[in-house]
Amino acid sequence: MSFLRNLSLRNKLIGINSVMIGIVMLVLGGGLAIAEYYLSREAMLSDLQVQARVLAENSNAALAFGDAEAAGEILAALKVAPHVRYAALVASDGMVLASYRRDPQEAFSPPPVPANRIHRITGDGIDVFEDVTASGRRLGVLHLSADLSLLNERLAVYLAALVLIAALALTVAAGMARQLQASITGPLLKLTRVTREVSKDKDFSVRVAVESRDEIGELAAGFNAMLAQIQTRESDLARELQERRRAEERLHLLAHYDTVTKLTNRHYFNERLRLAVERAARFDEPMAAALLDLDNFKIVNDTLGHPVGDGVLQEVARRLTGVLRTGDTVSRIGGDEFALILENVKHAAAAAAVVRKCVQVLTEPMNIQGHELFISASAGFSLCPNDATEIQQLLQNADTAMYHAKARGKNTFQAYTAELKGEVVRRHTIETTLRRALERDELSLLFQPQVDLSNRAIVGGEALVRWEHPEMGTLMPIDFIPIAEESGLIVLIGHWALRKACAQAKAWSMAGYRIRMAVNLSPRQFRTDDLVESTLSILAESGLDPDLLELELTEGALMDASENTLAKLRLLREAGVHLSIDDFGTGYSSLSYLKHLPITAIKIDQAFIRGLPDKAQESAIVRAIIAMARSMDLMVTAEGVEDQEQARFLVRYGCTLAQGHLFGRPTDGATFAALLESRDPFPFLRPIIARDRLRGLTDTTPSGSYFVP
Amino acid sequence: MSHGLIAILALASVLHGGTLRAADPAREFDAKTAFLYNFALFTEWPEQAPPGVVYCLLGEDRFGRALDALQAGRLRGAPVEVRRLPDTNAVAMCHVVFLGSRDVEALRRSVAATRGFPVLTVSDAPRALDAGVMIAMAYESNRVVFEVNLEPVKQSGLTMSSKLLRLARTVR
Repeated sequence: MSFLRNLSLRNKLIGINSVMIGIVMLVLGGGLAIAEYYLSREAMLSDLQVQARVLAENSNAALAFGDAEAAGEILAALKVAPHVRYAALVASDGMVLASYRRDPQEAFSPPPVPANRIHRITGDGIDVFEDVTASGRRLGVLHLSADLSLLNERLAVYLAALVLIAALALTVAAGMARQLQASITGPLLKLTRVTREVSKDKDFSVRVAVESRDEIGELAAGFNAMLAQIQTRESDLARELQERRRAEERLHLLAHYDTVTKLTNRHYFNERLRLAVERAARFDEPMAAALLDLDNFKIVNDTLGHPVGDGVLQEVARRLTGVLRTGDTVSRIGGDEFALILENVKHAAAAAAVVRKCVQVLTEPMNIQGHELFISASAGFSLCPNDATEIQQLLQNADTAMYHAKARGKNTFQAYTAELKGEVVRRHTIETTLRRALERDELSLLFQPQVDLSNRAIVGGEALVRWEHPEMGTLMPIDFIPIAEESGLIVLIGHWALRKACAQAKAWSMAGYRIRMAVNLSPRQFRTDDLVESTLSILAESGLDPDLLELELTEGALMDASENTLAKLRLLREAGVHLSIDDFGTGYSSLSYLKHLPITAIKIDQAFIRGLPDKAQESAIVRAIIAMARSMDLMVTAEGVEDQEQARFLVRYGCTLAQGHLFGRPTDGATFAALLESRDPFPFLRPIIARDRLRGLTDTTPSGSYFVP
Repeated sequence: MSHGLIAILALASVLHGGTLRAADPAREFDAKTAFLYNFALFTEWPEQAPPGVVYCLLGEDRFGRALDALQAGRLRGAPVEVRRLPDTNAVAMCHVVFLGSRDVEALRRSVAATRGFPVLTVSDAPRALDAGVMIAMAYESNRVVFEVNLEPVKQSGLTMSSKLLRLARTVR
């Protein structure tokens, strides 16, 4: 049956038709043939019986009279009956009176007469036995034997004809079925063809044209309805897709453009940069990435409001766009951060020229909504592939360079160099290992002596933190304090230093040396809420006399200090702690402001001392500071005193204290203690002080509170 | 079936077998007796004729005991009778009369006596038909042959089967 599955519907129908017709023809024809055969045989039998009866009647006289001749004549009449092959008149005693043979040559042996004289039918013949009687007397038997060969032949012919007719009928039926089944398979074929077309061309506007109203017609109608539905859905889908695409375009625009400046945004910049870096690497066409940061935009934004800030940004965008070369792109990647992609820059100088122009063009004053504003910018750039071939690295380089530009005083630009990189690495290392340093006790305190210029006595010491870095060696405060300040670790370090310094000062005090310990207070530490509490508790812990502690504050920290902060300073001062201004002269503090502060001393920055005594400007400043401090009843300490000339100058103009290499570098506690114990550690001061006193030029007021050894 | 009839039929078959010798007079008359029986068998008597068949022998009796064999059979619904008549007076009661005389004139007189009655007349005398006898038998070559004179048959009201006529050597 499996081959049936592979036949087309059309051939299946024809096949089924043919088989059905064949079976019907065979059953009908075969049945008819067999019925015909039996009926014919029955007819022949009854013919024979009639014949036998007639002959028996006719021949009874002949049999009665034993007239063989007459009997033979009577039997000879059977010649007209072609199917009778043999006939015999048999007397009662079994003697054959007369017999007849259709074909004398035929060797036919007649069967014996059965006792009951019932006819006998065999495959090739029928034997009939009829009693011969006269007036009720049985005289003998007439035996007639008929030949069935004719009938058999007729049956064969009949069957042959049947087969022929069946074949003919099948042929005709198949032909007609072929015609008729077209009405069934035709529409199906159409359907199939359309289905194939639709799935191939994806054209859902095609329809099947099937007119028949049978199940196939319904199928076609259903198929058409389905196609219509798909078509509608298809067009809906297309419309929806189009709308979605439009929305996506808009989103793309929003995603890639900055709405304020109409410049491209960070997203676009990153994509663009990726392409530029790839191109630079592939075609060896150097390009540069530059980062530009507005120096004081935050102030503008905070003080004049966002509308003005946006105006500034728009103006900046306009100016930057104006100075860029064709092919360069500028994007706004952050609040006041801009990024440039400079393609086709053969060397750093070409990139530097563009970046310089960018920085310069922003220095010109801007008029935004009636405000005249001075905006400057710092920029850094890095080259690809010279400096980096990876986007991340390139941007980091540019950022490093920009950071340095800012550190160098803003309103400038910086090209990335490998040295910057080393700086960055170093900075990074310090940053990451600083916290560990406290835990591992890698920090230690050094002390630098402060000398009373009136009597050569060591009256104080400045505590300085030193870091024995396991990899980088000994680090001085300048190397890591700014980093600690940024990371906030300075608070912890400050507490640690204060605790150590107090303990040391207490120890020396116990040993009989009243040394005032100066400890730096960083701006960050200065702003902490618990400044007073923590300081006083550390003091109390150490048991040190507050009078022996001096906190050094930077000028900047004091200038920015709020009233609240000043209140803290007053509290500390009331507790007895001395307060001094470190690096005095570097800031822009107004001198009149000083009188509001609860300070006890100022320290002249070493930059001024270095110019003594030859440089007129520095000398004048130092003299002025000393004079002012004296008039305000403040102590003055000179920092960075390196030679005797400077010391002489300071002595001459009445500077109270001095600190510097001339009197000793920062040393550990033990060395410092040894210095304290020596009788006359600074003998060179003796002639200077003595001469000045002799000349009567000094008008210093030595502090009586200082311990003089 | 009675023994007598079987005997007759057997006789007939023996006759037919042709094995009889010419010199055997007993065989001849046995055969002629069988023929007499058969003649009655293929002849129909009118309705009014009494049932059964009565065989009468007139004149010379050459049959002897052979003729008595007929009495074993039955014909027309009754046993067969055989009577030997001294004269023609009682021929009216006979169905079949065998005329033993060989003289033509004697035969003609006997036939005349039967005229008007349904009586089948049979003789084995030569020229018997000329004397008006209905059936004349002869024994030739060990066989019995017979001739039929239809005219007297018709007149007597008897009906003779055509099959019988067919077996006759001649029908006049």
